[in-house]
Amino acid sequence: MTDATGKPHASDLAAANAVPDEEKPVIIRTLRLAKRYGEGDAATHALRGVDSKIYRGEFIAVMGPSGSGKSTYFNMIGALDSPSEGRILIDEVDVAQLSATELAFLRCQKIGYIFQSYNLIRYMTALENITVPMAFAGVSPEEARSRGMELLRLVGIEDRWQHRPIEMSGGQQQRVAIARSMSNLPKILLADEPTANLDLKTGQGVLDILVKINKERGVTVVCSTHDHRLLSLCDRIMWVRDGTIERVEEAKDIKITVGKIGGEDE
Amino acid sequence: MKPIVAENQVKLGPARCMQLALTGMSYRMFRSLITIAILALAVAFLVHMLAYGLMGGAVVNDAYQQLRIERQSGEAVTRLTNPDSVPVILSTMTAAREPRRLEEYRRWANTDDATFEAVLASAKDAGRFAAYLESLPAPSYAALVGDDTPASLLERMADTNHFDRFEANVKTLQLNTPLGEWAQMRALATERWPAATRVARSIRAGHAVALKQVRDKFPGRSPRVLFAESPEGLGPALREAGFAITEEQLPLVADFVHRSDDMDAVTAMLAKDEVRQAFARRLRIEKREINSALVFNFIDSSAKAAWLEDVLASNGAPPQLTADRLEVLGEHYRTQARLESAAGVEPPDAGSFMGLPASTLYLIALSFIVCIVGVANAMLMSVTERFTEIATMKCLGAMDRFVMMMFVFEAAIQGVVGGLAGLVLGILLALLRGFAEFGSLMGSAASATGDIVVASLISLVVGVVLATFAAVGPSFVAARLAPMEAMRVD
Repeated sequence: MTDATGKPHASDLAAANAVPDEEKPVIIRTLRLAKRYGEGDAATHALRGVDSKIYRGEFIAVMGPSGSGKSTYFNMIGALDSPSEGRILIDEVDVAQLSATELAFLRCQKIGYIFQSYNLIRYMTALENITVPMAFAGVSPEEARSRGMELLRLVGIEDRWQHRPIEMSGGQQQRVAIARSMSNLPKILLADEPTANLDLKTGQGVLDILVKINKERGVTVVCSTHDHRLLSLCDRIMWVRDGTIERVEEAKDIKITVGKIGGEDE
Repeated sequence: MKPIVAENQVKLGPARCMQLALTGMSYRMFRSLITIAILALAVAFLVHMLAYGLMGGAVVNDAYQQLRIERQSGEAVTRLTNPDSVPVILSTMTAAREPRRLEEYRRWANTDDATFEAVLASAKDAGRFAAYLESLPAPSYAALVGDDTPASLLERMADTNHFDRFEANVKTLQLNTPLGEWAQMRALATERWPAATRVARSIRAGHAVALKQVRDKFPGRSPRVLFAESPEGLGPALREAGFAITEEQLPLVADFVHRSDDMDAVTAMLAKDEVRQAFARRLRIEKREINSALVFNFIDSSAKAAWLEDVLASNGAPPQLTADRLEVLGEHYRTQARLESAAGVEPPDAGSFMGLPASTLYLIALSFIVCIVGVANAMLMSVTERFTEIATMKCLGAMDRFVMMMFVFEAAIQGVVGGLAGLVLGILLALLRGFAEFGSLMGSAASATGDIVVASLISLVVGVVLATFAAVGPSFVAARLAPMEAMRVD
């Protein structure tokens, strides 16, 4: 579990967490993760050596202002982008060492992605969108269809299975996106600002589904957001600022504050 | 829970790719149609140029053949009237375009084959010498040739003094040596050409003997009358005298003589004031504007022919000018005019590829480039606007080869549909343009059908392959990018 290169930073984190994390299994670990866009003096540092751990089965919220590096961090741990420096370990496997087909397998079967702008494929119906990752995984069309309908029931829009994205509201589109992310029963769900484009009520519905998936199916959920309601729903909160992790808190430590915000919402 | 282990992703078959490509295209129907339309236009342009070029080539070649028959008929009469002059004999041998007349000359030359071949070789060199002079800049040409023609200059250079002067002039002007070497040029001018001229004289004499031979057999008849009447034994008699006139040619020559006699008769009638008066009234024009071209173009219906018959008959025209005959003459005149204008478009055998002339090849090359650019642009547009979709698919676990395959399929389908549409459009356009330009002569274009089919298939394949290649490039780039990099591309 302990990694020689990551040791001093891991111990820093452990102190901040104030929880003996050696007992919890780590599913995603980053070591001195850095990402630069551009070259030389003009380079923008989106991430500046981030060390972090995400535990199996937890619901972790990543909070931080725009441009803090949240999205970059997400793309890195989702193996969607390559880091400039540092390593990403998913279940102790270094992502940089995976071949193209292994990467595709990881993205398809082990990680589910939810984007701020849904990123549904415009010309496919809700059900077809959900079955795309299953097709990539080699699931038979009949099996994919029944599993797709089941997932649509899970997110509560099974009656809209043959609608195209353009015929659905933002909330419905995001539900389809959640169903799609779950189609190959991934271990990890990465949600990048899933409620940013939605109104409060629809956003709440989306968050509820994520919590349900986390609690009932034991899927690790990593969710970046500006939405403070999430603070009362998650297990841990990671605060990101200027490309570094400012602090990581147990959600129960700040419950009172969240309760007040939640009260304003209602 | 089991840990995540690294495994290889499943590979999807072409059938699934095809299915996804078709779904995508059916949804983006409008966009696909635009892409297909651009492809179709590009291919149509190419097919149109090829098909029109081939049709035109066939029509022009046919027109040349028909005009040649007409001209040969005319020449047959001339050759039976007077012996060819020495310059005509020499220039015919220089041009070497009339194999039949060369055969006649060979028979009348009264020399052995080797000598005759040597004369032909000299004629060829004389042709080169003339071409050399024609290629000179105007001032040099004027200085060297003066009041002569290339042929008469060569004749006068048989005199050594004259030749030396010519050689000195060429050297002073610092021009290229004619025929490459002076020794060769001197041999041609002082020995070979005088020898050729001597042979030409003996050919002329032989021709005269042949004429006398034919005239003695059919006394008291002019060549025109002779051909027009085509008496029994005319063909064998002509061939015996050395004329290269086949039995099949005789009726053609007879037709020609009859027709030109009749046309001359009609033209002669136009000298009469009453006839001109009638035409002027009928066509509402001045009397002085009336000429034979106008009259023959006028006879394009049986009603007009009947009217003209009346007019001519009442003014004492020969009895053979009936309405039917007049109509035939009018039709022949117009066909001849069309043939001449078609043949004047481009001389045949000027090109190298599929018998197409150079100017058409140039246009085809140009339309080929237009086709390439059009297709490449259409495919580039349709791929780059879908980078986000590619990125999403890659996030969902699509393999690079799947993304590529999907685009290749889509491009190929668009290429085939667009190509076929372009093919039909292009051929229709070529046919329309052909009929507009050549009218009733388009029948001769049928002989180009095989070539047109080949050209169409080439264009279709070009369209499909180009479309596919143009799509492969950008989709390859998109597929190779990390998903998030692809999503950032705008």
